Amino acid sequence: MAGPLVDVRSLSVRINVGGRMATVVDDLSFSVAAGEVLCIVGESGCGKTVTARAVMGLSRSDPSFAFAGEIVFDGQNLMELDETEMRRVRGAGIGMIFQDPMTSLNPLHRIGEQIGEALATHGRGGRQLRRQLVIDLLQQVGIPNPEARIDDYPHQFSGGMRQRAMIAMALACGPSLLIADEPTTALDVTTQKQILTLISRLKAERGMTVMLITHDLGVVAEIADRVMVMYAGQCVETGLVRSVFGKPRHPYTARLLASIPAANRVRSARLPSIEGAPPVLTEGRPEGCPFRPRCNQAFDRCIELPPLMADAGDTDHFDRCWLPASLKALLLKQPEPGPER
Amino acid sequence: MAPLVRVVRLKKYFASGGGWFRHSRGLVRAVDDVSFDIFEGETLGLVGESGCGKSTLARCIVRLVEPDAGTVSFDGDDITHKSMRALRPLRRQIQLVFQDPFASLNPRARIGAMLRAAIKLHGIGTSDTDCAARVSSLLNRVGLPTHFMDSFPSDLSGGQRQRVGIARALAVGPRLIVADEPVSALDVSVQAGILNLLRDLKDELALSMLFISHDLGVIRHVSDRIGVMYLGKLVELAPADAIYERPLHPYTEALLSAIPLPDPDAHLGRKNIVLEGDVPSPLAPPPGCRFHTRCPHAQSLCQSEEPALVEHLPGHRAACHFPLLSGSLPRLPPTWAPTRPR
Repeated sequence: MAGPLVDVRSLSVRINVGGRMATVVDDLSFSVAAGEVLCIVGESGCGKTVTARAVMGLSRSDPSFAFAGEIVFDGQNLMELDETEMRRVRGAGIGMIFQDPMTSLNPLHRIGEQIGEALATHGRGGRQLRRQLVIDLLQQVGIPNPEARIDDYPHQFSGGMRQRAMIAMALACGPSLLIADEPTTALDVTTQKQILTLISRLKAERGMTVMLITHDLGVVAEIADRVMVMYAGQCVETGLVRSVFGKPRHPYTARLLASIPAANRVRSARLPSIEGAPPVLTEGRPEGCPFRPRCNQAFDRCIELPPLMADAGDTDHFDRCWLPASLKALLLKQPEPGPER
Repeated sequence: MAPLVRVVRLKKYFASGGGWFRHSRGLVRAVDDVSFDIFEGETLGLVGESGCGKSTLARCIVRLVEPDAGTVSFDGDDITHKSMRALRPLRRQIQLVFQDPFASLNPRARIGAMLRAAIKLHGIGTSDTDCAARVSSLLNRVGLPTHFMDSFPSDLSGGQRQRVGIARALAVGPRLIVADEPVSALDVSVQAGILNLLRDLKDELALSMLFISHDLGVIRHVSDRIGVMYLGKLVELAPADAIYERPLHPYTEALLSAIPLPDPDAHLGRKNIVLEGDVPSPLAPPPGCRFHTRCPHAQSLCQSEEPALVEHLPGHRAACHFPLLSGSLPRLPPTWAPTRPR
C-alpha cells in the first residue's frame, strides 16, 4: 500500500484549565504504516493518551479542548469530518480499547449485546447473524466456551477476559487500525502476557495496524515495530524499536532506559535515576528543550527548542536534541544488560 | 541470629458476600498457612499477582488486622492477638509506607505538621525547637529541602509525596518498614530515585524491610530475599538472585517469562511460557497444589496432595512436588508415566 495508513501532521491539542490554555500536545507529527505496530511511550502527562484520543476523534465536542493540525487516515483528513461522518469511521475504520476493562464495559448489559451493538450500529447482519458473528469474535479473542459466555454479564468475567471482550468489541467491524490505550496496565503480568500475545496474533492474522500507548518500555520492546517517545507533549525521539533501544539519541530516552529496574539486570549499587519531575504542562511550557532542567548534558543552545531531525547514518531514526551525533553515541551508550536467564 | 519477625503458619480468612442479607457465600482464604522470617537488616521482597494475599499478609504483620490462626512475633514477642492498646509501643518500631502518595497524605495538613504529629504522638520530640530540628533533618534525609515543611501535599509531585510518606514512617525511628507497593503509582523516571532512597536508608539506619510489589523487576533491586505468593500460599522463598537465575517453582518460572523486558531481543533465548486461563477464585482454591490447574508440569499427584514449602537447595525453598531442578527426574512411583517429559 502506498503511503502510511495514519499520517498526523502538526497536531496540537490545547486544554482550557481554569481560563488558561495549556498546550498538552505541541506540533506533533508522525505516521503509522499499514500493518505496523507503533508504540507511543512516555510518562504520565506527556500527552500520549490525548494524542490517541485525538486520532479517534474523542473529546472533540468538549468545549475546553482546542485542536489544530491534520490527522489523515486512509487518505481522509479526519479533522475535516463532522460528528456523523466521524461516527462512521469509529468502529469501522478505527477500533479502540481502553486501559480499564472494568469501567469501559456497561455492567447492566450482557457481553454479547455490547459487542453486537457495534455491529448493529454499522448495520452489519440481522439478529441471528450478529449473534453468530459475536460468538466467532469471542472465539477469536480466546474466550473459552463462547456459546455460553456470550450471555454473561461483565462481572462474571475476570479482568483478562473483560479486556478480551473489549478487544472483540473493537474488532467487531474489522477496523484497519486498532488504538490501544494502556491495554495491559490494569492487568497482572501473566494476563498481560496473554493479551500482548493476542494483539500480536490478531495483527498477524488480520494485517491490522496497531497504535499502542503505554508507559512501560518492556511492553514496547515486546510488541512494537516502531516507537515514539514523548516528553512534555512533544516527540523527543522516534525510530525502529531496535534502533531506539539499542542506540538512543535523546538523553531522556537513554536515561529512562537506564533507570528501569529490569528483572534481567543484576542488582547494582544504585539505579541511575533522573532528578526532578516532568514539567506540569498546565502551568506553562518550559522555554527551549523541555528536558533541559533535568538533563545533565544541557548546554547554552538548549534554550532554543531543537527540531526533530535524523542524522546522516540512520535516516529512519529521529530525535530532538542539539548534541552532535558523535557525542550522543558516546554519552548515551547503554550499559550492558545483565546475563539473561 | 534470632529473626526480627517470625511468621508461623499464619492464616487470615475473610467472609465473602454478606451485603444486605448477610448470607456469607464462603471464606476467602487470603493468607493460608504462610511461614517465614525476616532477619535484622534484611529486606524481604514479597511478589505475586493481585489477590494473592501479599497485602493482607503485610497487614497481619503490622497488626492492622488480626490473624485467624498462626503467630506473628516481633523481636521474640508474640504480637498475634495483642490489643490495640498493648500494640501502641510496637507501632514505633514497625512503620508502613503506602502505595498511593496521593491518598495517604492529608491534603489539608502541611508537611511539617504531619511529621510533627508523628513525632509528638510517640512522645519523642520534647521541645518545639527539638521537634522542628527533627522535621528538617527528616526532610533532608529523604532528599527534600527544609522549606517543604510549609507546603501542602498538593504542591508536591508524586515522587516528592512518596518521599514525605517515607519521612513520616522514619519519624519515629522504626526498626521495621513495611512498604506496600511504594513505587507502583510513580513514573519510571521517578521510581529509580525512590528505590535508591529506600536502599540507602536501609543501609544507613540498619532497617529491616518487608517490600511488597507485583513488579519482579523492582523487587529484584531492593530485596535480599524474595518470597513468591500464589493464591494465599508462599510457593517459593529464596535469595534474590536465585529466584531469577534458578527458579524452582513453575509459577515463578512463568512469572519471570511473562515480564516484558526493555530489550527488543530479549525473547531470543528466553523461555516463552504463556499460562492458560486465570487465577482460580480464592473462595474455592483448587485441591492439592493450588497452581496445578495452570501448571505446565502438573501430574496427578499435584491434584490430590498439597506440596509443603521444602528446602530443595541451600536457602532456597519451594512448595512443589516436581521442582525445576535441572537433571532431576520426576520423583514418581514407577507405575506413573509422566505426562510431559521434563
